[in-house]
Amino acid sequence: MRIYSHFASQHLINQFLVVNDENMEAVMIDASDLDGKIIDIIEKNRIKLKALLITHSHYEHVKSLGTIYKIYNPKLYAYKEEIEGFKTTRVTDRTVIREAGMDIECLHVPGHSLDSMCYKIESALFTGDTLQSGYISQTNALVEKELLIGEIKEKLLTLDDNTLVFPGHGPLSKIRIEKMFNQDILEANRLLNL
Amino acid sequence: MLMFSFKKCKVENCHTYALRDRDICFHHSLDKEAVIDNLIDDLKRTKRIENTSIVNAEFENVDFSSAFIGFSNFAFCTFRECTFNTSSLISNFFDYAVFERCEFKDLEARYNVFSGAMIIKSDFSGSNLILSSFMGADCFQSNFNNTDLYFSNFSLSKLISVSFEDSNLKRCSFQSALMRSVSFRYSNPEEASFKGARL
Repeated sequence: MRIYSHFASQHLINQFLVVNDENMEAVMIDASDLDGKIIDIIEKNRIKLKALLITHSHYEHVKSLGTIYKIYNPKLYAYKEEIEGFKTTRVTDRTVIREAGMDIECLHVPGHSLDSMCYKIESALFTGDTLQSGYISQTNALVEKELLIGEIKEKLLTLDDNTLVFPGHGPLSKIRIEKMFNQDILEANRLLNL
Repeated sequence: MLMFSFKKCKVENCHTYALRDRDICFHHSLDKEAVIDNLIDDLKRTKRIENTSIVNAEFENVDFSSAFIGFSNFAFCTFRECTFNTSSLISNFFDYAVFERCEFKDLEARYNVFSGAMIIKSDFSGSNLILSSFMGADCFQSNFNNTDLYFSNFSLSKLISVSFEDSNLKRCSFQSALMRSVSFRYSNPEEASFKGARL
Protein backbone atom coordinates (compact mmCIF):
# COMPACT_ATOMS: atom_id res chain seq x y z
CA MET A 1 0.00 0.00 0.00
CA ARG A 2 1.29 3.47 -0.84
CA ILE A 3 0.09 6.63 0.79
CA TYR A 4 0.73 9.90 -0.98
CA SER A 5 0.19 13.04 1.07
CA HIS A 6 -0.57 16.44 -0.35
CA PHE A 7 -0.59 19.67 1.62
CA ALA A 8 -3.30 21.95 0.28
CA SER A 9 -1.80 25.26 1.33
CA GLN A 10 -4.88 27.42 0.80
CA HIS A 11 -6.76 25.83 3.71
CA LEU A 12 -3.78 24.03 5.33
CA ILE A 13 -5.36 20.64 4.68
CA ASN A 14 -3.66 17.26 4.33
CA GLN A 15 -5.12 15.29 1.50
CA PHE A 16 -4.18 11.64 0.97
CA LEU A 17 -4.13 9.25 -1.93
CA VAL A 18 -4.03 5.58 -0.88
CA VAL A 19 -2.84 3.28 -3.62
CA ASN A 20 -3.04 -0.50 -3.73
CA ASP A 21 0.37 -1.61 -5.07
CA GLU A 22 -1.01 -4.79 -6.55
CA ASN A 23 -3.43 -3.22 -9.01
CA MET A 24 -2.47 0.48 -8.85
CA GLU A 25 -6.03 1.37 -7.96
CA ALA A 26 -6.53 4.13 -5.41
CA VAL A 27 -8.88 5.93 -3.12
CA MET A 28 -8.53 9.61 -2.28
CA ILE A 29 -9.29 10.98 1.16
CA ASP A 30 -11.10 14.33 0.80
CA ALA A 31 -11.31 16.59 -2.21
CA SER A 32 -9.71 19.78 -1.03
CA ASP A 33 -7.40 20.35 -3.91
CA LEU A 34 -6.61 18.96 -7.34
CA ASP A 35 -3.49 20.72 -8.50
CA GLY A 36 -0.72 19.71 -10.86
CA LYS A 37 1.15 17.78 -8.18
CA ILE A 38 -1.69 15.35 -7.49
CA ILE A 39 -2.51 14.97 -11.17
CA ASP A 40 1.19 14.25 -11.81
CA ILE A 41 1.21 11.53 -9.16
CA ILE A 42 -1.93 9.94 -10.58
CA GLU A 43 -0.87 10.15 -14.22
CA LYS A 44 2.84 9.31 -13.93
CA ASN A 45 2.12 6.24 -11.81
CA ARG A 46 -0.85 5.23 -13.98
CA ILE A 47 -3.08 5.17 -10.94
CA LYS A 48 -6.76 4.44 -11.37
CA LEU A 49 -8.71 6.58 -8.93
CA LYS A 50 -11.65 4.40 -7.97
CA ALA A 51 -13.20 6.19 -5.02
CA LEU A 52 -13.32 9.40 -3.09
CA LEU A 53 -13.84 9.14 0.67
CA ILE A 54 -15.17 12.35 2.20
CA THR A 55 -14.39 12.88 5.88
CA HIS A 56 -17.00 15.66 6.19
CA SER A 57 -18.74 18.13 3.95
CA HIS A 58 -17.14 21.41 5.04
CA TYR A 59 -16.38 23.43 1.92
CA GLU A 60 -12.59 23.43 2.25
CA HIS A 61 -12.56 19.60 2.30
CA VAL A 62 -14.75 19.15 -0.78
CA LYS A 63 -14.10 22.21 -2.89
CA SER A 64 -12.45 20.27 -5.73
CA LEU A 65 -15.10 17.59 -5.75
CA GLY A 66 -16.58 18.74 -9.08
CA THR A 67 -13.21 18.80 -10.84
CA ILE A 68 -12.12 15.40 -9.53
CA TYR A 69 -15.50 13.94 -10.43
CA LYS A 70 -15.32 15.37 -13.92
CA ILE A 71 -11.82 14.05 -14.66
CA TYR A 72 -11.78 10.69 -12.88
CA ASN A 73 -15.44 9.93 -12.14
CA PRO A 74 -14.70 8.06 -8.89
CA LYS A 75 -17.34 6.52 -6.68
CA LEU A 76 -18.17 8.96 -3.90
CA TYR A 77 -18.53 7.82 -0.28
CA ALA A 78 -19.73 10.05 2.55
CA TYR A 79 -22.06 10.11 5.53
CA LYS A 80 -24.40 12.54 3.79
CA GLU A 81 -26.52 11.46 0.84
CA GLU A 82 -25.54 14.47 -1.22
CA ILE A 83 -22.53 16.80 -1.18
CA GLU A 84 -22.20 19.90 -3.35
CA GLY A 85 -24.96 18.55 -5.58
CA PHE A 86 -23.33 15.14 -6.07
CA LYS A 87 -25.12 11.98 -4.98
CA THR A 88 -23.01 9.82 -2.68
CA THR A 89 -22.98 6.24 -1.55
CA ARG A 90 -23.81 6.61 2.13
CA VAL A 91 -21.56 5.08 4.75
CA THR A 92 -22.38 4.91 8.42
CA ASP A 93 -20.61 3.73 11.53
CA ARG A 94 -18.77 0.39 11.17
CA THR A 95 -19.63 0.07 7.49
CA VAL A 96 -16.91 -1.87 5.69
CA ILE A 97 -16.52 -1.14 2.00
CA ARG A 98 -14.15 -2.65 -0.52
CA GLU A 99 -12.61 -0.31 -3.06
CA ALA A 100 -9.39 -0.51 -5.07
CA GLY A 101 -8.94 -4.03 -3.67
CA MET A 102 -8.70 -2.72 -0.11
CA ASP A 103 -11.06 -3.18 2.83
CA ILE A 104 -11.99 0.21 4.26
CA GLU A 105 -13.61 0.46 7.66
CA CYS A 106 -15.77 3.55 8.12
CA LEU A 107 -16.17 5.09 11.57
CA HIS A 108 -18.73 7.79 12.33
CA VAL A 109 -17.16 10.29 14.74
CA PRO A 110 -19.51 13.30 15.05
CA GLY A 111 -18.67 16.47 16.97
CA HIS A 112 -16.74 18.77 14.66
CA SER A 113 -19.63 18.22 12.24
CA LEU A 114 -22.49 15.76 12.37
CA ASP A 115 -21.28 13.97 9.25
CA SER A 116 -17.63 13.48 10.33
CA MET A 117 -16.22 10.15 9.24
CA CYS A 118 -12.87 8.44 9.79
CA TYR A 119 -11.61 5.75 7.43
CA LYS A 120 -9.30 2.91 8.46
CA ILE A 121 -7.32 1.06 5.80
CA GLU A 122 -5.09 -1.65 7.28
CA SER A 123 -3.16 0.17 10.05
CA ALA A 124 -3.67 3.65 8.63
CA LEU A 125 -6.43 5.76 10.13
CA PHE A 126 -7.54 8.87 8.24
CA THR A 127 -9.18 11.12 10.80
CA GLY A 128 -10.17 14.23 8.82
CA ASP A 129 -11.30 16.89 11.27
CA THR A 130 -11.82 14.72 14.34
CA LEU A 131 -8.54 13.68 15.95
CA GLN A 132 -5.50 15.83 15.15
CA SER A 133 -1.95 15.42 16.38
CA GLY A 134 -2.16 16.66 19.98
CA TYR A 135 -5.65 18.12 20.00
CA ILE A 136 -9.17 17.55 18.76
CA SER A 137 -10.81 19.58 16.04
CA GLN A 138 -12.77 22.69 16.80
CA THR A 139 -16.42 22.37 17.74
CA ASN A 140 -19.20 24.94 17.84
CA ALA A 141 -20.25 24.26 21.41
CA LEU A 142 -19.12 22.49 24.56
CA VAL A 143 -21.74 19.79 24.16
CA GLU A 144 -20.31 18.96 20.73
CA LYS A 145 -16.79 18.91 22.16
CA GLU A 146 -17.95 16.45 24.80
CA LEU A 147 -19.59 14.34 22.07
CA LEU A 148 -16.42 14.41 19.95
CA ILE A 149 -14.13 13.43 22.82
CA GLY A 150 -16.48 10.60 23.79
CA GLU A 151 -16.60 9.27 20.22
CA ILE A 152 -12.81 9.52 19.82
CA LYS A 153 -12.23 7.66 23.08
CA GLU A 154 -14.73 4.96 22.19
CA LYS A 155 -13.93 4.41 18.52
CA LEU A 156 -10.38 5.62 17.85
CA LEU A 157 -8.38 5.29 21.05
CA THR A 158 -9.52 1.68 21.36
CA LEU A 159 -7.62 0.82 18.17
CA ASP A 160 -4.16 -0.75 18.32
CA ASP A 161 -1.55 1.61 19.81
CA ASN A 162 0.59 1.29 16.68
CA THR A 163 -2.17 2.49 14.33
CA LEU A 164 -0.88 5.43 12.29
CA VAL A 165 -2.97 8.58 12.35
CA PHE A 166 -3.22 10.67 9.18
CA PRO A 167 -5.14 13.80 10.23
CA GLY A 168 -6.78 16.42 8.06
CA HIS A 169 -4.46 19.09 9.40
CA GLY A 170 -0.95 19.16 10.86
CA PRO A 171 1.63 16.45 11.56
CA LEU A 172 1.08 12.67 11.55
CA SER A 173 0.69 10.68 14.73
CA LYS A 174 -0.03 7.28 16.24
CA ILE A 175 -2.82 6.18 18.58
CA ARG A 176 -0.26 5.56 21.37
CA ILE A 177 0.98 9.14 21.05
CA GLU A 178 -2.54 10.57 21.19
CA LYS A 179 -3.36 8.55 24.30
CA MET A 180 -0.31 10.02 26.02
CA PHE A 181 -0.13 13.58 24.73
CA ASN A 182 -3.46 14.73 23.29
CA GLN A 183 -4.16 17.76 25.44
CA ASP A 184 -7.91 17.90 24.90
CA ILE A 185 -8.31 14.26 25.85
CA LEU A 186 -5.96 14.59 28.84
CA GLU A 187 -7.92 17.62 30.00
CA ALA A 188 -11.24 15.78 29.63
CA ASN A 189 -9.88 12.81 31.58
CA ARG A 190 -8.65 15.16 34.31
CA LEU A 191 -12.08 16.83 34.60
CA LEU A 192 -13.80 13.45 34.80
CA ASN A 193 -11.51 12.43 37.64
CA LEU A 194 -12.20 15.56 39.70
CA MET B 1 5.20 7.73 -0.78
CA LEU B 2 5.29 4.05 -0.04
CA MET B 3 4.53 3.25 3.55
CA PHE B 4 6.32 0.55 5.52
CA SER B 5 4.55 -2.80 5.63
CA PHE B 6 1.68 -2.96 8.09
CA LYS B 7 2.28 -6.65 8.61
CA LYS B 8 2.51 -7.36 12.33
CA CYS B 9 5.06 -9.61 14.03
CA LYS B 10 3.89 -13.23 13.99
CA VAL B 11 4.89 -13.81 17.62
CA GLU B 12 1.78 -14.17 19.74
CA ASN B 13 0.63 -10.95 21.46
CA CYS B 14 3.30 -8.88 19.73
CA HIS B 15 1.68 -5.91 18.00
CA THR B 16 4.89 -4.46 16.57
CA TYR B 17 5.25 -4.09 12.82
CA ALA B 18 7.39 -6.80 11.24
CA LEU B 19 10.73 -6.10 9.57
CA ARG B 20 10.57 -5.58 5.83
CA ASP B 21 10.21 -8.93 4.01
CA ARG B 22 10.18 -10.78 7.33
CA ASP B 23 7.47 -12.25 9.56
CA ILE B 24 8.87 -10.99 12.83
CA CYS B 25 9.79 -7.65 14.34
CA PHE B 26 13.31 -6.51 15.24
CA HIS B 27 12.81 -7.36 18.91
CA HIS B 28 11.96 -10.98 18.12
CA SER B 29 14.60 -11.49 15.43
CA LEU B 30 17.50 -13.68 16.44
CA ASP B 31 19.99 -11.89 14.20
CA LYS B 32 19.62 -8.31 15.39
CA GLU B 33 23.18 -7.32 14.54
CA ALA B 34 22.85 -8.68 11.02
CA VAL B 35 19.59 -6.74 10.55
CA ILE B 36 21.30 -3.50 11.56
CA ASP B 37 24.40 -4.29 9.50
CA ASN B 38 22.23 -4.93 6.42
CA LEU B 39 20.39 -1.68 6.93
CA ILE B 40 23.64 0.26 7.22
CA ASP B 41 25.17 -1.53 4.22
CA ASP B 42 22.09 -0.65 2.16
CA LEU B 43 22.35 2.93 3.37
CA LYS B 44 26.02 3.17 2.35
CA ARG B 45 25.32 1.66 -1.05
CA THR B 46 22.11 3.45 -1.99
CA LYS B 47 21.96 6.44 0.36
CA ARG B 48 18.31 5.53 0.92
CA ILE B 49 16.25 3.99 3.68
CA GLU B 50 12.63 3.54 2.69
CA ASN B 51 9.59 1.67 3.90
CA THR B 52 11.46 0.13 6.78
CA SER B 53 10.18 -0.63 10.26
CA ILE B 54 12.84 -1.27 12.87
CA VAL B 55 11.67 -0.70 16.40
CA ASN B 56 13.82 -0.50 19.54
CA ALA B 57 17.16 -0.78 17.77
CA GLU B 58 20.38 1.00 18.74
CA PHE B 59 22.54 2.97 16.34
CA GLU B 60 25.87 4.42 17.38
CA ASN B 61 28.17 6.55 15.26
CA VAL B 62 26.18 5.88 12.10
CA ASP B 63 26.45 8.33 9.23
CA PHE B 64 22.96 8.93 7.81
CA SER B 65 24.05 12.18 6.17
CA SER B 66 23.03 13.17 2.63
CA ALA B 67 20.59 10.26 2.55
CA PHE B 68 16.91 9.98 1.77
CA ILE B 69 15.04 8.46 4.70
CA GLY B 70 11.35 8.06 4.09
CA PHE B 71 8.17 6.41 5.24
CA SER B 72 9.94 4.40 7.90
CA ASN B 73 9.29 3.52 11.51
CA PHE B 74 12.14 3.94 14.03
CA ALA B 75 9.99 4.11 17.16
CA PHE B 76 11.82 3.50 20.46
CA CYS B 77 15.23 3.42 18.71
CA THR B 78 18.36 4.92 20.24
CA PHE B 79 20.71 7.05 18.14
CA ARG B 80 24.05 8.02 19.70
CA GLU B 81 26.46 10.37 17.93
CA CYS B 82 24.74 9.81 14.58
CA THR B 83 24.77 12.39 11.81
CA PHE B 84 21.81 13.16 9.56
CA ASN B 85 23.28 16.32 8.01
CA THR B 86 21.81 17.43 4.64
CA SER B 87 19.47 14.43 4.55
CA SER B 88 15.85 14.34 3.44
CA LEU B 89 13.52 12.95 6.07
CA ILE B 90 9.96 12.49 4.87
CA SER B 91 7.11 10.97 6.88
CA ASN B 92 9.16 8.97 9.38
CA PHE B 93 8.19 7.87 12.87
CA PHE B 94 10.88 8.45 15.52
CA ASP B 95 8.38 8.41 18.40
CA TYR B 96 9.88 7.67 21.83
CA ALA B 97 13.36 7.48 20.28
CA VAL B 98 16.47 8.72 22.05
CA PHE B 99 18.87 11.04 20.23
CA GLU B 100 22.11 11.77 22.02
CA ARG B 101 24.72 14.08 20.50
CA CYS B 102 23.18 13.76 17.02
CA GLU B 103 23.53 16.25 14.19
CA PHE B 104 20.62 17.13 11.91
CA LYS B 105 22.10 20.19 10.18
CA ASP B 106 20.54 21.44 6.95
CA LEU B 107 17.86 18.75 6.87
CA GLU B 108 14.94 18.80 4.49
CA ALA B 109 12.28 17.27 6.70
CA ARG B 110 8.52 17.17 6.72
CA TYR B 111 5.77 15.07 8.30
CA ASN B 112 8.21 13.46 10.77
CA VAL B 113 7.11 12.35 14.21
CA PHE B 114 9.49 12.81 17.16
CA SER B 115 6.73 12.64 19.78
CA GLY B 116 7.84 11.42 23.18
CA ALA B 117 11.47 11.41 22.05
CA MET B 118 14.43 12.34 24.24
CA ILE B 119 16.74 14.76 22.43
CA ILE B 120 20.01 15.47 24.19
CA LYS B 121 22.83 17.77 22.98
CA SER B 122 21.62 17.55 19.38
CA ASP B 123 21.80 20.12 16.63
CA PHE B 124 18.99 20.77 14.12
CA SER B 125 20.37 24.10 12.88
CA GLY B 126 19.67 25.27 9.35
CA SER B 127 16.94 22.67 8.78
CA ASN B 128 13.46 22.72 7.31
CA LEU B 129 11.36 20.87 9.86
CA ILE B 130 7.87 21.68 8.67
CA LEU B 131 4.79 19.76 9.82
CA SER B 132 6.84 17.81 12.34
CA SER B 133 5.68 16.67 15.75
CA PHE B 134 7.90 17.00 18.83
CA MET B 135 4.89 16.63 21.09
CA GLY B 136 5.85 15.49 24.58
CA ALA B 137 9.53 15.39 23.63
CA ASP B 138 12.21 16.13 26.21
CA CYS B 139 14.93 18.35 24.70
CA PHE B 140 18.07 19.26 26.59
CA GLN B 141 20.96 21.46 25.46
CA SER B 142 19.93 21.29 21.84
CA ASN B 143 19.53 23.86 19.14
CA PHE B 144 16.95 24.57 16.46
CA ASN B 145 18.59 27.79 15.26
CA ASN B 146 17.81 29.03 11.77
CA THR B 147 15.16 26.33 11.25
CA ASP B 148 11.78 26.47 9.56
CA LEU B 149 9.32 24.98 12.05
CA TYR B 150 6.14 25.93 10.17
CA PHE B 151 3.13 24.02 11.56
CA SER B 152 5.33 21.95 13.90
CA ASN B 153 4.21 20.92 17.34
CA PHE B 154 6.19 21.10 20.60
CA SER B 155 3.15 20.94 22.87
CA LEU B 156 3.67 19.24 26.25
CA SER B 157 7.40 19.11 25.55
CA LYS B 158 10.09 19.82 28.08
CA LEU B 159 12.65 22.26 26.67
CA ILE B 160 15.70 22.99 28.78
CA SER B 161 18.60 25.05 27.42
CA VAL B 162 17.22 24.91 23.91
CA SER B 163 17.56 27.70 21.36
CA PHE B 164 15.22 28.63 18.53
CA GLU B 165 17.14 31.65 17.24
CA ASP B 166 16.36 33.19 13.86
CA SER B 167 13.76 30.49 13.20
CA ASN B 168 10.34 30.51 11.55
CA LEU B 169 7.75 29.67 14.20
CA LYS B 170 4.63 30.46 12.19
CA ARG B 171 1.76 28.18 13.31
CA CYS B 172 4.20 26.34 15.59
CA SER B 173 2.67 25.15 18.87
CA PHE B 174 4.40 25.26 22.26
CA GLN B 175 1.15 24.72 24.17
CA SER B 176 1.66 23.49 27.74
CA ALA B 177 5.40 23.14 27.14
CA LEU B 178 7.79 23.50 30.05
CA MET B 179 10.64 25.83 29.13
CA ARG B 180 13.83 26.76 30.96
CA SER B 181 16.61 28.81 29.36
CA VAL B 182 14.95 28.81 25.96
CA SER B 183 15.94 31.49 23.49
CA PHE B 184 13.71 32.79 20.68
CA ARG B 185 16.03 35.64 19.69
CA TYR B 186 15.38 37.00 16.17
CA SER B 187 12.49 34.51 15.69
CA ASN B 188 8.75 35.19 15.45
CA PRO B 189 7.24 33.72 18.64
CA GLU B 190 4.24 36.07 18.20
CA GLU B 191 3.10 33.79 15.36
CA ALA B 192 3.39 30.66 17.52
CA SER B 193 0.98 29.42 20.18
CA PHE B 194 2.15 29.35 23.81
CA LYS B 195 -1.17 28.67 25.54
CA GLY B 196 -0.53 27.05 28.91
CA ALA B 197 3.25 27.05 28.42
CA ARG B 198 5.31 27.41 31.59
CA LEU B 199 8.19 29.78 30.96
